[in-house]
Amino acid sequence: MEKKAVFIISQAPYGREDPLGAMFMAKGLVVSFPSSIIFTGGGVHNAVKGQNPTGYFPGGKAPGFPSVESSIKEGINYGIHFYVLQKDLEARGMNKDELIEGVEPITEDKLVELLLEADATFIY
Amino acid sequence: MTKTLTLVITEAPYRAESPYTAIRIAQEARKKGYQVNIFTYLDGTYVSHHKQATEAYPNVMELWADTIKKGQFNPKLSFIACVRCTNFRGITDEMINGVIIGGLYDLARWIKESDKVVVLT
Repeated sequence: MEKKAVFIISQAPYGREDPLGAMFMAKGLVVSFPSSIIFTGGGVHNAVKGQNPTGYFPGGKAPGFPSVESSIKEGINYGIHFYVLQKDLEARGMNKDELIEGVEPITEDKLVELLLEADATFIY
Repeated sequence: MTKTLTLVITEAPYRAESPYTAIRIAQEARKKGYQVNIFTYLDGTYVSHHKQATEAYPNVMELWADTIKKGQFNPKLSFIACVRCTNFRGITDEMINGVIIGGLYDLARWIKESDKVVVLT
């Protein structure tokens, strides 16, 4: 029987290595079996479109932090399913129009459904 | 048939207790006859750095070295550290004996083969 992996990312982008590390891991796993990423809590900020981490360093001499938005778009092309918890989005005064195309808002009901279907759950 | 447990560790030792907890889970699972796989990722790769010198805390490196040594015999214990993560941290050549430098395709294979996957954060 085919296995499934699900990732829950509650860390905001750029503050820690976790969101990019999780996406890198998901890209490695989706080659072998279906993988989904769900952004919850402060992690919903990962799914916002129009990110521009270049110029993060004064003077612009150092390379910018790798773009989480680019990583999500690449992940969608790899076949990873991206979700964001609707309630956590609203809690931060955000709405689905601000999301990267391809990221789907979901309810807690769907979140639990995805968790129960998964054989491996990763928390970041 | 032998059952397989895969543990994924993402936190470094001492700041987090989870690498120490993972050792105890691995040892007890082997006692129950489980073959155990350990995959370290991100800061979790520091777990098997060979130059840890603790005084007040249990030395995670020594405990893992002992666990890996015992894991050569059935039920086996295999330990893979993510190459991207060890390269980032400059510790690829600083691992204790028995640690294999591998990648995410190894983790994918382990997940497929495992009866249970537990992620410790």
